Formats: sequence, C-alpha cells, structure tokens
Amino acid sequence: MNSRTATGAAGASLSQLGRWVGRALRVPGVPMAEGDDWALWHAACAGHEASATRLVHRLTPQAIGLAMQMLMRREDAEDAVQESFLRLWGSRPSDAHGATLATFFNTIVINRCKTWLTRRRELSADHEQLTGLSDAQQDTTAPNGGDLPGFSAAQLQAAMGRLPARQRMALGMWAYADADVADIARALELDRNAAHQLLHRAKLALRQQLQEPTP
Amino acid sequence: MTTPTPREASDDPGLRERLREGLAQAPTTGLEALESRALAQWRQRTAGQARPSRGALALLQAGWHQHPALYSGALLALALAAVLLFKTWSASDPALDELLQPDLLSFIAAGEL
Repeated sequence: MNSRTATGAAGASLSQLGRWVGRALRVPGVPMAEGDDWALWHAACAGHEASATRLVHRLTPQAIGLAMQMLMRREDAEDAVQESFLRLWGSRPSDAHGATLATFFNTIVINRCKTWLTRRRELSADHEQLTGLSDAQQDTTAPNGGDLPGFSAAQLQAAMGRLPARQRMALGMWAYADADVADIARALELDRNAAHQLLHRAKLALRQQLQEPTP
Repeated sequence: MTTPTPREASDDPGLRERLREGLAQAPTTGLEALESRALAQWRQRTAGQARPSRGALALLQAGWHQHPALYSGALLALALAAVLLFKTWSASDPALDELLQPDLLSFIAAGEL
C-alpha cells in the first residue's frame, strides 16, 4: 500500500518535473496554446521580442474591434489600443485577479475608452438624461429575449454604435470583461439599481438593433 | 414591469456568447501599422529599462513578477538561514579558546619568562 502511494507520488513528481523541463526547453517563437498568454506576457516583459510580437498580433484584432464598438471613431480607437498596450506592459498579473490575459486586456481597453468618452463629454449626466427618454420608449417596444439572427462583426459594431455611450460601456464591460452589475455601478459611478437598469436597457436596445432588418 | 431583477440583469449567457463570437470575428487585416506602433512602444520601454535581463536572471525576474509573495518569503528564509549560519560559525568556543592560549612552555621558549 505504502509502496503504491510512494510510486504514485514519484510519478506525479516526475510528470511535474517533465512539464517544468518542457517549459524550460521550449524553443522561443514556437506556437503556444491559448492558456499560455500569460507566459507570453512574462517573456515579453523580460525582453523577448518574439513573444511581444506574438502577443500584440494576438490581442490587437479584438482590442481594436472592442474600442471601435465603444468609441465609433477609428483614430480614437487606435490611440486607445496603443495606450492599452502601454498599460499592459506596466501591469502586474495580480491586477488581473485570476482572469485570462485576453479578458484582462479587454478591461484595460474599456477603461481607456471610458477616458476617451469622458474627454469627448459623451458620458455626462446631461446626455444620459436625454437618452433616458428614448430608453423608456425602448422598454415598451423592444423584444424581451428570443433568438438573435446571425450577425457579422460590422453589423454588431453598427448596432452598438446606435446605442448611447453609457449603454455601450455597460454592455462592453458585461460581455467582454466579465463585469457584474456591481462592477458596472462602480465604474460608471452609479448606484446598484441604476446600473441594473442601464444594463437591462442596453441589452434590450442591442437586441432590438440586431433584430431590425439591415437596410 | 420594466425593472429587471438582479438575475435578469446579470444573466444572459446566450447574448454574452453571441457578442463574444461577434467580436472574435473582428477583421485581422489592416492592423499592421497599429501593431508596429505598439511594438515600437514596447521596444522603447524595454530599451529604457536599466539593465537588459537575460537567461536565468530574466527567469528569476519573471518568477518574482508572477509570485511576489512566494519569492519574497524564500528570500527572507534564505537571509534568516544565512544569519543563523553566520552566528553559529562566529560563536566563540571556550574549549577552542583554551587551546589557543599560549602555554607556559611557549612563554619560556619565547624568552618572556
């Protein structure tokens, strides 16, 4: 019995050692699995150019798509993504609270977009009050669930673009950064109930936009 | 009734999944200039660091970055062990001190007595 336990422990140690040696002997530049994004980040921060290139190439398409959904202007979106990369190199893994690198990066991108929207005065309360009226109308007419038709990235971006900035922010945080209502409330400086309402309206409005026939 | 319950507002995995799929289809072409600028910033940042770290040092730094508490604990334990070891070695041994005292014959031989 004891010898069987000892054999099992030795086997586990050997496989652990094997994994460690495998990681240590990995040839730089060889493709890695999705879960190794943090390993790429560590290597990039330690000065490994191939890892930095690979990470930038991997993260950029979604980051620019997300920034475009939030900001709706190409130049602003590119600036926000560039700023986000700078923040990524200077961040610490503990900031991610166990999230994947992609989700953590989405959070950074959304935060940068929020700064841009604030600069453009699109997150102000006045604007929110104005859009509140149209939101109230949406609530009475919008479909409450059901299957969404198929849509492309461009259609999604166009649908997001027709929502007010605060709704876009709430949806982006919820969908791409794993944020819950409390996180949204904190980020947008709302009370919890207002954040519930905002997210609910945003979902309804987006569904409505996506279900409308494309002109 | 338009007020959502907490569950309605936070749970809609279908929509979330569709949005993520939509974002994942974002075009990957035409991004070369942006990627080049991001990499140029990375190079500038890397070059600006005090010392380029390579090999084992880079591995240690990366490990420290990943597990700061573990590495700090290990460093503290090593420092403590070094202090204890030093104290053990430097402690005077009375028997050894006795042996190191010059005896009477040595003094006579040296002409001091």
